[in-house]
Amino acid sequence: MSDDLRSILLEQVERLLADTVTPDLLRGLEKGAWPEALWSEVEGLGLTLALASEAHGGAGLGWDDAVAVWQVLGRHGAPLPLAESMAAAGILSAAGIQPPAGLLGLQVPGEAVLPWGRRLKHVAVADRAVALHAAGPVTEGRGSVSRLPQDRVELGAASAEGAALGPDAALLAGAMIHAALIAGALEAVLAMTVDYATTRKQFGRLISGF
Amino acid sequence: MVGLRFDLRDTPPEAPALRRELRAFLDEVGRDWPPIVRAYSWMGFDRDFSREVGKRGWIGMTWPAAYGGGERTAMERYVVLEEMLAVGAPVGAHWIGDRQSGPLILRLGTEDQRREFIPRIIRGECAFAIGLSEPDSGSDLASLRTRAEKVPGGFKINGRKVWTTNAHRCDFMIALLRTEAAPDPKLKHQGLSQFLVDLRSSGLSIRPILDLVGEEGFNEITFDDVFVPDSMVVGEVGNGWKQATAELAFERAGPERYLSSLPLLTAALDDLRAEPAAAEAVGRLLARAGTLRQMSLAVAGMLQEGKAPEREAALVKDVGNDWEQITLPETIRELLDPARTPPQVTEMLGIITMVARSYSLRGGTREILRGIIARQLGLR
Repeated sequence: MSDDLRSILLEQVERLLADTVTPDLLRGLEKGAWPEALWSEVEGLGLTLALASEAHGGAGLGWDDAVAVWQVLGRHGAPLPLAESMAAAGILSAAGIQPPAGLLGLQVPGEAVLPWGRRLKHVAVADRAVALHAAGPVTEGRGSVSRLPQDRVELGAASAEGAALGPDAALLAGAMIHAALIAGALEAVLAMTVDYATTRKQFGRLISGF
Repeated sequence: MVGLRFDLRDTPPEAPALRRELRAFLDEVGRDWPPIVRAYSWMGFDRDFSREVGKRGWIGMTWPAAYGGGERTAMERYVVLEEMLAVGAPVGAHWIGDRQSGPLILRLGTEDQRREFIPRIIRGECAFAIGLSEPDSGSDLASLRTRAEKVPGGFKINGRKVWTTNAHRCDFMIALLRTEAAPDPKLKHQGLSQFLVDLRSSGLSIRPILDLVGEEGFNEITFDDVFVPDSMVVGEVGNGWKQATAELAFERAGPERYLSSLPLLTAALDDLRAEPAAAEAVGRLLARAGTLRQMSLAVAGMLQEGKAPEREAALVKDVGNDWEQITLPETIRELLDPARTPPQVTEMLGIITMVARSYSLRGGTREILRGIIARQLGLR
């Protein structure tokens, strides 16, 4: 994606999240409330399929562009499992499978727990071959550390099987997602810290001035 | 000699027997403590547990028998603290009372206050909160603004305290309040006084603050015309700063200033024992802990002798915070193989990683501690 296009996309995502991700929305998320309005907006922007090829209805977004989008998500507390869903669509498409629209799960072989599993209709599994499964029965759970719903999802029937991308495809995508989200979160924390250090006074001085 | 002095101390001959007794008790009662309980340890709160500890004579161990205390040595008490911290026992319901509020009341309280509070603390039935920080006064504590205004029969309090651990579960707070406006910002240490405040007083409201883990440990307390009778003044009106500074020596002096994350090491050791490659890193970790322990014991010894080791305590806390906050959790994280680590250890590592941020804030930030140390060395 060209630099210009990328900055337009990032600005759009930034504006959307800045307008909608309020402390109330984040508090609701921690209590298990799905941010439906925000999700529809994100789908409306075409983000969910963006990593898929144009032939698969995507935008042919590069992984480097996706990382930049995920950093923006991280800046706003990652209120949606959007990064996972985008990566699942990208992996399916790369393996030659048409990714379905909507929220997708991405499963690392042997790891049945997925964020917001209760909302999933489809799960991409990157084992030796990439496959698309229907989501099976779900056991709802709550992440002790993330505080987001972490549900155990059983796999239903496979509806498509594609090329092999190697057993690490989902792991690498997961690592990339979390590195990007963390980097974004740290950007936000740095901004808050600088803001605090330049407004908080102790001993009659700004604490940035000691 | 401008330096700080740490005399080597040994734990007393009674220590091994006492340790055995504690371990048997903690093994039994702590069998089902989940990682979150152990990770919170002295920030946690379990009144039933504290009552059991009280029954065994492990609260107020060094205090006079006249009030129900055990008249044992500070070193024996130290052994109890170490054993509690090693397993992450949820000691918060009696920790503050045992560590600082009780000693303050014994030293400066009236006879009535001693008779009212000390036996209840010893039984684990009166939990204390710390009433120091305010929204605009943290490191610069003396700038605090919550007022206690003289009225007939007592004082009327207005203002706010914040970051008060477990206030919503505690019974009393010793609050440092402004009884007289400072005539000049330079004289802000004057006109402060300490009060025993009943946390169920009318006009007092407590709002929880969620921490990073999602627990309601911290609170903000709002005082709206809260009445406190004259009989609840601690020490002298106007002498609060000096009293609170002495209280801080107790607050900073204990082994919890370097052992807060120890339950993580205890939990991870089972897995690391089988890893020859981990031996060197674990050994280095423990060697460092040994040094910190000697320094911490030296401070406990000074407290036993009635000294106020404010500066030595500041140094132990500063060095100890690095170990508990950074060295220990990061060493463990590097050593554990995520694929083979039991989920309860992973969970504790996650929780400790988040709560450890507060270790170097609570009880005095690094910057404040280093200022105290620098003053002792003649640098400022």
